Amino acid sequence: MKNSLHNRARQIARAIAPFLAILMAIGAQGQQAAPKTDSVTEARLLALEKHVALHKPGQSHLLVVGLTTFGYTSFNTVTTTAGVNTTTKSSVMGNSDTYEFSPMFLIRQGKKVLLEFEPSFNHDGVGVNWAAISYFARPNLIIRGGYFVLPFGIYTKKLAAGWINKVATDPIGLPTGQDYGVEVSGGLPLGSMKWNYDLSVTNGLNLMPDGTLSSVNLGANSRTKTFTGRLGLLPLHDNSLELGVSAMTGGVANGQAQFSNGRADLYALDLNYVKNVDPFQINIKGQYNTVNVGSQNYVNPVDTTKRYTFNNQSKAGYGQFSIRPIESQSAFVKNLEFAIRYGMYNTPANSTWGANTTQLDYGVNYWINWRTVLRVTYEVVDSKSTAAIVSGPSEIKTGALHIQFSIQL
Amino acid sequence: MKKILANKMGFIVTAGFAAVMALSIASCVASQSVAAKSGAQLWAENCQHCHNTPSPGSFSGDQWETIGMHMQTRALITEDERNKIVSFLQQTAR
Repeated sequence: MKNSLHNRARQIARAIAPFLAILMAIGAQGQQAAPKTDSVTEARLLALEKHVALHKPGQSHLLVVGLTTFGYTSFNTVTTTAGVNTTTKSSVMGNSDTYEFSPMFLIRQGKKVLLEFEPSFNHDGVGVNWAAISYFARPNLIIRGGYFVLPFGIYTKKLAAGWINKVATDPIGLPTGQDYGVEVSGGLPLGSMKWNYDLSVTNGLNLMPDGTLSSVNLGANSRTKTFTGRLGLLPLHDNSLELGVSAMTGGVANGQAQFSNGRADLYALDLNYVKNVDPFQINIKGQYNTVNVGSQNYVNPVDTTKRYTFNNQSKAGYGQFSIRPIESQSAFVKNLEFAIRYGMYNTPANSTWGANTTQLDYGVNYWINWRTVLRVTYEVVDSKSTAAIVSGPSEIKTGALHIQFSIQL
Repeated sequence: MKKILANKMGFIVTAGFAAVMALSIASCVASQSVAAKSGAQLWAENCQHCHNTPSPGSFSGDQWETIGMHMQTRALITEDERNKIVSFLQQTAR
């Protein structure tokens, strides 16, 4: 029986041996040369290869970040008119200080080109904070075009975001922020110090009939351009201190006959000092700016056929101090930050919008993590009118309690 | 002479500034302090200038590259600083 099975196996092996040999030969051939493809397939492969080459995988990168802020504010306003005080109380969820939703799209192409686009939804509707393309031309030279934040002072460009600011509101009296144009900027070494430059040419400022300035969307009416620049110096080796000086100048008439040759000159000084002094982090920031438009003939709001004039000069500034016990042993205490800010804003006396205004803020921030903050700010804004022609309250004093949550993602 | 200088002061300051800027851009030499500092030190010093220092694990390596370019346009750090900070963050990124 055993011999019979053995013989049977031998017979089967002999029978399939030629087939196995043929199969092995075909396999070996397949390894030596790729199978031939027809012309249609070859054309398709070529097209795909070209497509892949154009796509440059790994060079283009899209990142969506952004920020949102929401909160609640309670107001208590005392209005003084002809010596009589009137008190009003109100509260709001969703004004300019209590709501913002701003996703930011960053599109990087290689290491030379970056597109930045930040639409924003707030109580004014949907707008755009910036939309610009930057070309990194040299190691410390960036050329930018589009719609961007003007390099004037330090607050608007670097410190205004809700998750960066130390109190719930913006300082009063800072000139307008964004415009269309081109910009060159960069940071440069200076021995053990550093300095930076930021220069732009933009569509320009426009003088309004009441003497205030607006800055954007002039379109074809923009006849003169505005030059803006800021120089920053970081004199200390640990980068803890930055001092900045800014200027903005340009024609503002834009074809309006009553403002012939009108121009605006704005100047600003700013300071930013951040130092860790165990167990605290000390943070001091400030900016002072002036706006000088000179004397022009403005429309009289009482009788629009008549003109009147005033010295169109505004001054504004703020100083802010905050302290955080970052080295505290307590996890709760180390996330607390205390802030105080004082601001002033004097608009032209004898204009229709003249006022001397002060702003005082006390704030407590609780940092949930490095980019998420819950803050409570109490603010007093006191505005004493220096206006002429129009009648109105002589003083408006508002106390506001802000409770705000802000996050950057 | 004084009057001429006073009249031309704006031009002199502007020209001087332009010359210093052009020389600085052309030279592109890292400052001694930047060259001596680690990425971690530059990250701590520069980021906290405006906001809290970010956690390296908040973004991926590719994302830090993009954020580094964005921050260079915003904070005007030098390219050497950006490269060192991004390298440090990428080493410890998620």
